[in-house]
Amino acid sequence: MKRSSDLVPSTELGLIWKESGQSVLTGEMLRLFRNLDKLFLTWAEGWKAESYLFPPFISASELNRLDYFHSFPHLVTIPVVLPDNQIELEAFANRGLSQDGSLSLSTFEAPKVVLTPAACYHIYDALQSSVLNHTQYFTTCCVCHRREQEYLPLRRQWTFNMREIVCVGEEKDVIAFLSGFKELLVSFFSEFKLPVEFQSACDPFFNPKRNPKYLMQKLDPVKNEMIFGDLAIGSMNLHRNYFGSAFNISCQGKEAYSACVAFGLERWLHMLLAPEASKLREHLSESERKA
Amino acid sequence: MTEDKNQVAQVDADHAKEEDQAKQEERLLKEKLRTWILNANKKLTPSELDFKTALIENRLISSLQVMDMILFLEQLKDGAINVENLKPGAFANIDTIYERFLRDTKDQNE
Repeated sequence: MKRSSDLVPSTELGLIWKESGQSVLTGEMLRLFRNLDKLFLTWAEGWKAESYLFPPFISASELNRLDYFHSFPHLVTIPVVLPDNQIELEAFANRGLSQDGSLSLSTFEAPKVVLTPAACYHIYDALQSSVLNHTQYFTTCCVCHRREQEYLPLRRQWTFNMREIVCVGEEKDVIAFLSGFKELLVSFFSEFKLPVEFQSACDPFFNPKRNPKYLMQKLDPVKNEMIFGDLAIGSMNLHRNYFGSAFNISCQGKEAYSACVAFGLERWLHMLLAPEASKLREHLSESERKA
Repeated sequence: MTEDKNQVAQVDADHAKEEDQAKQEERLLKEKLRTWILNANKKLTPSELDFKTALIENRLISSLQVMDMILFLEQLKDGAINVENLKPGAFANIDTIYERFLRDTKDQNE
């Protein structure tokens, strides 16, 4: 199985690696990327999921409803802008870059947005204060940003693409969505002879032992990861009424339940480089030819 | 022979008494947990909570209350609970909490 050390980014491969923890895709890799997302979209269409395209920023005040900055301060990436005054702008313009390549900011405006850390947050934000008559399904693909201690091409990146399919509504429908999706995935992995296992997992909380949400996830696992080798290529998450409560979304007179299925596109690409994924690679190329 | 029989009967009686005491102690600890939960969740009425009522699944205790309950359990058992070793189902209901954390004085969560 391909490990990170086996993976040598190259233009020939269609992957250029940026030491900042980002990758550039071209050629065959970009084709595979697009075909993978088409595959995920066909799954989303199975639930008649409504597509959304969200901007890269999400409001800090909305994320704060989820206690995000308490739970994941180590992951957050914050865009900053200079103060809108001539003196500060001139000082910045004259300072230029530091020798280590960093920008020297003596001051900046207090940021009110952050770079999207997970695609589905936008959906709950968009549904804020909604009264749903029936369960609804959504899908979106976002560039997500998570600062990490180290980065590895396609495995762990500062910025990466996440496709999510989200179900919001009645508890029974949300549970059925997850079990239906799991059936689909088990059958898919089996058809393509991909050794992917489902494993319970916890989110990477900051100071986990002091975080009640981490304890709750240990006691009542709500995250089920798809593991290929040692890499989580996706996850299935049952939020119960957590987002319904935080964003005041109701369905049939109750706080809405929600769940999401998330796919990390770069990690799927990493899987596709493994010999075990040859059948899926062929299938994706064949689908492209037919299209 | 009669003396032997008497001794066996005495041992059985002692054993039964110990079992009774253990059951009483178990009942007492479970009732303490039940009272704690009822105090923590004011929306819950006593008739809605028995030793098998699903606590986490029904969200009868919140994540913050789980942390407080761990502190309460540490008091009851007079020992620390290693949260890293918490397993799914440990807080499913009062019976499981008793079995995992209180049946012995040692930390069964290890």
